[in-house]
Amino acid sequence: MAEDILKSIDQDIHTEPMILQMGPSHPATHGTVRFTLTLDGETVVKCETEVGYLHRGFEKEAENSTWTQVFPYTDRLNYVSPVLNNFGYALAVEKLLGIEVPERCNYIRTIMGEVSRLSDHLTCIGAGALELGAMTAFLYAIEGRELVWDLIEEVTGARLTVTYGRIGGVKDDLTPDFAERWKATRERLLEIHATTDKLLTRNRIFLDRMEGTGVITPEAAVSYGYTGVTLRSTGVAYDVRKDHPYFAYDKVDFDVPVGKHGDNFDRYLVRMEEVLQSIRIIDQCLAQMKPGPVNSDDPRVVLPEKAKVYNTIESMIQHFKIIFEGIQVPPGEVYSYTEAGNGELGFYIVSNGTGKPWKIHVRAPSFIVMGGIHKLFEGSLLADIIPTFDTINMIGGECDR
Amino acid sequence: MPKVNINGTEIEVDKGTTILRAAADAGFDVPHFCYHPALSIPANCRMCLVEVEGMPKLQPGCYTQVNEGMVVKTKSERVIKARKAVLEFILLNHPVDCPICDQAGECKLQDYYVDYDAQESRQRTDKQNKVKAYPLGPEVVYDGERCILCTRCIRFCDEVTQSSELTIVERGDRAEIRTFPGRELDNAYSMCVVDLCPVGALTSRDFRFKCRVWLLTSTDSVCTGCSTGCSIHLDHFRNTAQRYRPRYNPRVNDYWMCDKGRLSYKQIHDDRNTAISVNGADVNWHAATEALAPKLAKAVEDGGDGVAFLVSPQATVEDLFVAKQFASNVLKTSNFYMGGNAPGESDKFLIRADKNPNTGGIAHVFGSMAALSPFPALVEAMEAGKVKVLYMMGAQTPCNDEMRARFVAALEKVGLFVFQSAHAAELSGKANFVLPACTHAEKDGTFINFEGVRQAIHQAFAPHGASLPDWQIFMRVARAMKNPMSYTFLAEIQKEAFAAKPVIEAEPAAEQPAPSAE
Repeated sequence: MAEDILKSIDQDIHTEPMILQMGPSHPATHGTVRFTLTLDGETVVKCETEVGYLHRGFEKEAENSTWTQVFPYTDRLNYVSPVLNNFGYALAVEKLLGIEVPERCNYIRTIMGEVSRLSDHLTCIGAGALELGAMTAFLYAIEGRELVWDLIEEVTGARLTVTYGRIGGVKDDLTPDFAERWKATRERLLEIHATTDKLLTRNRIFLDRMEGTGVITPEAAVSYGYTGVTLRSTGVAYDVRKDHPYFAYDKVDFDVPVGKHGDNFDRYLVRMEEVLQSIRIIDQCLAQMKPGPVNSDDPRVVLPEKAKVYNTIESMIQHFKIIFEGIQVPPGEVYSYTEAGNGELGFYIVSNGTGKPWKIHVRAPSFIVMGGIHKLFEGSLLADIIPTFDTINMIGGECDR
Repeated sequence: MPKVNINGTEIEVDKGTTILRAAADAGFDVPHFCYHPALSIPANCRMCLVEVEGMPKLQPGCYTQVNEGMVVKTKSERVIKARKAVLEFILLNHPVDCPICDQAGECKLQDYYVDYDAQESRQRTDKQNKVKAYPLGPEVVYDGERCILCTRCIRFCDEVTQSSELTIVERGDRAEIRTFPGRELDNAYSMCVVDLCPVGALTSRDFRFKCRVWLLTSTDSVCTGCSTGCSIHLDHFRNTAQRYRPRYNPRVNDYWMCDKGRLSYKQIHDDRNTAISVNGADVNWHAATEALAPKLAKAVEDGGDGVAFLVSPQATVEDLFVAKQFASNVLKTSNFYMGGNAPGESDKFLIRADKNPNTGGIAHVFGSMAALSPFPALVEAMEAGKVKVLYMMGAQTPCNDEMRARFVAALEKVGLFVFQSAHAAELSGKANFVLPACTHAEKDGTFINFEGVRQAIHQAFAPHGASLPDWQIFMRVARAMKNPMSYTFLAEIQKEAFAAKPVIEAEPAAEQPAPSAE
């Protein structure tokens, strides 16, 4: 009897797709982004993505700053790994200037870049676990990030807005005890990695939420221009560090982990492995690097030492001109790309031969990922959006610029 | 017409052209300190040395004239080496002054060091000490340590003003610029040497430490000091004019301007009318024009005879054109009187006795000066009680102090005094209506100088307070009087103002400085 009643109700229920606005300020969408979801029950039928809520006009601001003044703005692109943005921009301008940085600088950039990548990956892993309710794993990962930030703070003087890169070099050499501190940090990072691994990788709840959700095929990922972890999780082994080496990446040995399924769990696994690879790269760099200058010796680009600035007119003029008129970059255009936390971070720069950029365009990996994110959402459950949106690691500052 | 080859570029130039000029024509900059196109050529700085094929030594490009078939290299290794050496010598005794130097930011030494030298100091000895902040005259301060002894200032005083105050004293690394004993650098154009100085050795006492030059925005304008109307760069920062600099205009002032004119930028901000007031009460434009309209309308009804209109030659042609229409069509009066500054000193070079920039504009708009009655006639009419309404443009009056006092006293007899002016003078307190106008720095327009040369002025910054360009004020009053005029843009006024009668001589098309100027 009772079953009959249920049956008749089931048949009579009139269903129609429901439109649901998710975001722009949703607690689980870290980064302000709005999804207009069409739901059939709990299944996402259609997703329209709207980005741009964090638009600051970075590219326009840069046109009114000297080449050097752009660095603080790049900090605010992917603010979880600002050092990588600094170096990506510096490399682009150096290509346009046609200058080489000293070997030690390349090592420092590699080390600090990887330290920054650790911060990016640990944050993503931790936050992903948190959003699925795994507070413990989050705390471990964030402890790792704090340790990494302590290192960054010691070298750059700041934790987040570091502005550590310079055209033709870096702000300063590593601190004398950097290697020692890294040794201590490294040990704890490995412990944290192991603990997080134990907490998550074989955790049934975690697996249920991650495995097979947010899937994208290698073909779709390539056609949408995906790079970074999102692409590698599908099995395409594209890593700018390996395929187009820059800095000191051709001098160190590291693996490019790839996934098989292109799902959330593979992205998690790739990140976990990349944490280990980053540690490996830093270890090798510290062993290989030799003392030496950290800045290019081109007087048109690099500020002279303060002692010379205050005591000789030549260096005073040079300092004055670089500060007030900016580095004079020859006219031309360049596209330069590096592997940032989320994938290929490209800077397309046009110079008209003055002290300020004529145009800067950023190929932000997050922005490209957001272009095809509906492919990852559609056909899956509403709840799957949460882990998927985490593992593609959209960073508003970088995506919306 | 000799043909020369400069860095591989063939160019044909006039006979007697120097290599530096020919290179500039061919598109190659040859650096130089002592050379200035308006002065004689001493070839003493050696910065412009170039390689000429067939000549064993490098030649000064500013002095050497081109010959048929000459092959010149301005970028060869020898030339670059020589330039580096010259700059190293010049910088040997140059003080580390950039942070406290007014020239920093527009300094040729800085530019050339970065462009052509860019190597570190090799000096191991102390720098030579010389005078700092030594006054050469009332407007110019000299810094011996910064001086590179290019002698531009000396040649300017010898050749342009022909007053020959300056010379070099001492020899070698003790050489300095000085005035001759008992003399002062006090000619009427003395501040031109500040512009001429390629480094920060000569600074303007007025501009010293006032504003860093890279903060300044430069707007092309015209000096309002006299009827020469020197072309100027109006340099301003945060809505305040900081200085005038002469702008190269071969038709008017060449590279020069007089000190008085140069310092007249101060008047832009002095004693300004910034609020609209009706009998002492601050109101907005709408209230003021609505209150003014019936009063003017009543005067028009009573017959235009009682209305006197004082026209200012400080206003632009566009303002004057609208003023004439306003007076004739709206106020129905033809009682025009001449305003503006009283005549003053003059010389044979740039300074004119007529101290108004746009007397030529009045002649252009009103047909001839005869259409306007002289100022004393206005004072007499006021004293006789014939003037019921006085509409006054500008605060200046072309008269002596005694006449001015009579004018101010006679204002008591005027029933309605409308005072439309940028400056308050002593008149704002006596006016029934104060309508704040803006100065030439705050509006676009045209001036016509004493020779009939037409020059455009451009708006440098936003009008102060509630002030508006004169023509817009006339439009507002006319609209309130239900007799509106139909202009929206300045270009419409210009079209009409210059359609009736073309200006005697138009502004020269080429406003750009000659190559290698300064």
